[in-house]
Amino acid sequence: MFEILLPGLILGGFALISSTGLFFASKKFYVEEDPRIEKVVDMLPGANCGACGFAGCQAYAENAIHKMSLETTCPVATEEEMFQISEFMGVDSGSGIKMVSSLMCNGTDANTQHIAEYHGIEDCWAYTLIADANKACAFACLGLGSCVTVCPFDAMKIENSIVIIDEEKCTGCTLCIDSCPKYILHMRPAGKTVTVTCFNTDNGAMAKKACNVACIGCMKCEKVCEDDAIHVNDFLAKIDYDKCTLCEKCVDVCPTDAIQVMGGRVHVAAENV
Amino acid sequence: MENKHLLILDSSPHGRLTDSTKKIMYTVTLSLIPALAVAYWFFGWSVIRTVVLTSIFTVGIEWLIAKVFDDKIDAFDGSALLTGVLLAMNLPSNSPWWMLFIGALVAVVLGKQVFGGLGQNIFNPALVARVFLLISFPVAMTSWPKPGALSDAVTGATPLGMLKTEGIGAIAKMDVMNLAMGNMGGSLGEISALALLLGGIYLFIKKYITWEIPVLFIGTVFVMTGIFWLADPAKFANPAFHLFTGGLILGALYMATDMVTSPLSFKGKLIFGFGCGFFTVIIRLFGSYPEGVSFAILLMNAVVPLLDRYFPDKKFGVVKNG
Amino acid sequence: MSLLKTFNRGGIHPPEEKHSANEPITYGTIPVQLMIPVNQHIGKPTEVVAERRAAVKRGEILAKSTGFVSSNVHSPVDGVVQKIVKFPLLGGQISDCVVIKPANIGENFKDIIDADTLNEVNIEGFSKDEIKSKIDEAGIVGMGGAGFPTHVKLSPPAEKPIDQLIINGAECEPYITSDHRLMLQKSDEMVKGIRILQKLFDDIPVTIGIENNKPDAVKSMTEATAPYKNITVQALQVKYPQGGEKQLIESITGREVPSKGLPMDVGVVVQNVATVVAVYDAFYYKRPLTERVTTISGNLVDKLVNIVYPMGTPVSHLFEPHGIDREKIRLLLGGGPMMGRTAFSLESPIGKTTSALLFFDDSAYEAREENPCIRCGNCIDVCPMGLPVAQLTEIIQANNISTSSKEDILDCIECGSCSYVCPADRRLVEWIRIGKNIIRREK
Ligand code: SF4
Ligand code: SF4
Ligand code: SF4
Ligand code: SF4
Repeated sequence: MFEILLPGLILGGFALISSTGLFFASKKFYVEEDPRIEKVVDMLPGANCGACGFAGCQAYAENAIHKMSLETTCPVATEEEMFQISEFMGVDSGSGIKMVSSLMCNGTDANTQHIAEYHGIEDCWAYTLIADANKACAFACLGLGSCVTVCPFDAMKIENSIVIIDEEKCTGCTLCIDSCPKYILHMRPAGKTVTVTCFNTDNGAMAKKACNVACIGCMKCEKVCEDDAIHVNDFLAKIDYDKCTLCEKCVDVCPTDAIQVMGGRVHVAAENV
Repeated sequence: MENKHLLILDSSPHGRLTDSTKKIMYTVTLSLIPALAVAYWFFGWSVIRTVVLTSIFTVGIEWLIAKVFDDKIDAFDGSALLTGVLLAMNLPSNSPWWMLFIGALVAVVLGKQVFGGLGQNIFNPALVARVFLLISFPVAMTSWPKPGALSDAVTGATPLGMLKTEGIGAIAKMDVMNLAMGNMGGSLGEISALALLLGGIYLFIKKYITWEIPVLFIGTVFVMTGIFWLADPAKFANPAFHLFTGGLILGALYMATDMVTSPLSFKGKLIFGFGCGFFTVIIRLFGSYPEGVSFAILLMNAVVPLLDRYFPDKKFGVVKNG
Repeated sequence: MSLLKTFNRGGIHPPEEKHSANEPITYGTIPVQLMIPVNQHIGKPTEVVAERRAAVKRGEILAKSTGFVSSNVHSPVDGVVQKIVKFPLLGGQISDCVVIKPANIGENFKDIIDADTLNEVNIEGFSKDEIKSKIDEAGIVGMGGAGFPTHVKLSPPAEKPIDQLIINGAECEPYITSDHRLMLQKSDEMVKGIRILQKLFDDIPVTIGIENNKPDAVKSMTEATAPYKNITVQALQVKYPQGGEKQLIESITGREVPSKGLPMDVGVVVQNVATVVAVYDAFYYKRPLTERVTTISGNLVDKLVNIVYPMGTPVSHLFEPHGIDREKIRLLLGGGPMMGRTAFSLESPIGKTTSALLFFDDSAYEAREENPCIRCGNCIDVCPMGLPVAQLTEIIQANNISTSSKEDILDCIECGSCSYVCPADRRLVEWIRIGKNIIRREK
């Protein structure tokens, strides 16, 4: 009989040991919990992404209740949701402009070329351990998808060797920002769709040689902008979203198409009017 | 900077030894040929039938799984084949085809793929299947064809089985040399320790197995049964008998040394080998099943992660010296 | 000679491929343009002092060291600075380079080198600090691989007494023979260089470790060191990575550098043979480090050589003289096949640590796919650091690095032995490097 019993005994033994372990652990670590914590957890989106800087929604809620403050906002929650939580707790909600991630590169296969044939592990950081660039433009997106891997909301995908971000799905959790070894993912307010899709700070001639759609620092956009919202520094234009009114004039004048409207243009291009 | 063609970027080292998973698996399978030849000599064509059937079943099932679930699985990497052959060697050569099929199914699905496929399984797939069959079909699994029998009509117990049911008297007449050659009832691979040893030595030379597990395993069985035998020869069989029966050699050389389910560290291997031997003897002498090798190995398989964790090899520079 | 010594744990025997071992050191021609990387060391970046369109002389500083752990870069030739641009180096990094148009384009570099005057030097006249600062000024870095500034390595803190100096002539990497040739052809110079280093540590014993596949080098070094009792030559068993610093120390002294520790923790300082020759040059020729012996080999090279080119020579300059078919190059390695890095530009310049340039065509490269680990244990058996490689890489892959495994990961010397033997073709070192990178980013 011993052998038939044996597997049973082993399994039973394991179960016994682990359940006693769990039992004692739960006893030992049991703390009286503020019931409000659970309420706040329920009101949070529950993505458990950790983008707020805490180890998940539970930890975030605990901190909020203990400090009685919503200074750190949940980046995933909508303004509405944050407002509800603040009402419930009776404190101010933090400022809640929804931000989304945006790629400052348009170095697709058509616009710039690969400079080597990579055979290593499919990971952008792994690539940077072997070489600093994989396209003619040294600033370009490597297209190996480290950001795609970390995005908990399935908002990113690789297409034509660059990352495409789905503004609808992106919750602004910011996790992808630090996952990019090229530091070309930046947050911008949702809806502010006019973006400089280039991060190349080389001078115009070099940038142009490296990529068809590089910002060459010609300053045309800076001059045409009536709202003082776009400035060129180090041969690279940058938009101040506090001022940008989405007039898309810069998009029209850019000679290299380095300024793009994400999700398609709203205004009709000037030459078509 | 324009290159006409692109240079290759890759991580060092830029060369590899030519060994591959495939090569290892097929070499291990090939090393079983002497043992299979001996089995053929004693049991005839049924041996070939059993081996071919189980191999087709295991590889086929794995191929199907790969087709349906995960195209990353390579059904022809040799690991399924090896499982098939090893399984066949653990079964009576006259097992009905459906039993072989169930065995193959259990080995590949329960023994391997549910854990996540090759390299992830905790238990030796062939042994999982064997124990499953042993528990499910105790009768079929314990009536073994007698050597030289031409059909499966004549069956009998294994020497160990006889020892268990009929006592020490039943095996008194058996000649150790005969046992070593394989002239006894048993599963395909239980017979002919010498042919298995030959394959084992080949694997050892190829460095596909290391000495620790087989030596400790067999040694422990020998010493422990020896102690009992010396204490009471009237009740316990002699160690040589234990050595050459019941698939100990097969288990020690092929099943316990399975790379995936044995420890990685030196100390881990020693403990693993000893544990296998220890439990084999305990089960053989005091358990109700005549044969303990499979159970002992499975039991030790379960603790491999712990052995790896708590008995790691010594690292460079961990002990300070002056 | 005593029994062949070696290190205890692990190690592998890759094919040696040292086909260029019998080629004496030669000198190349000066290319039309030199691209001199301004950072050729590990440590603080230098400050570029070269100015556009300014004329420079051989030995003039182009980029200045900015601190203790930093290193000067000098011009190897007379010429004119054209510009300073970002350029891909052999290791795949993109870094600032000073572009120089040499004055003597097409001339043999040997003429330039021969023009340097040999000075008689009385080492006893130098204080320890003077020796170190001279080495610092000459921009000498570890020429065996990493490029760590030599004067830093020679300045252990007072609480770490040094009682053994080891000169690394193991050259365990396949293909490379530049150190081998140096030991044959510059043995006397090397001994003089050793004497300088020895002075720094009050004449402690020196052992030159040489792998036994270079019996001629063992012989010539033994002869050259014969007059000095406390300089010995130790032949070592041929086993990769014999030239790994920690392994070499274990082989020769039996001491184990503690985990996370440095050689000086066991009272040892290790210097590469090429570095020692550079030290000699700095004293006897007042010559900063601006050139080195590089082995040019690989299956695409018609004429294998051990050759000296001025630092900054672009790889493309070598095609003509060495019969390399540019069109066929698929794999360009700076360094040996075990630890060398792939380059992506055929214009990348030769630098202070370029011990070899290997050119291979398609046939030498086989792309292999990663398969699941079968727990064969080979990687653990060969790891000279005794690391549980299979488990470590698995937790890195699962992005689940624990504190205890962190130490193991950081202990890896990236020798590549594990990847070399893995039957499942797992990219083990690569995963470990990723692990190191993750740990570094967390800090
Ligand atoms: S793209 Fe994904 S990871 Fe990045 S901010 Fe949006 S949701 Fe977060
Ligand atoms: S955006 Fe950054 S992380 Fe994402 S694929 Fe491009 S380089 Fe990689
Ligand atoms: S690369 Fe690192 S882990 Fe691999 S064998 Fe060398 S020291 Fe060990
Ligand atoms: S060598 Fe490869 S297959 Fe073998 S244990 Fe290491 S990682 Fe696994």
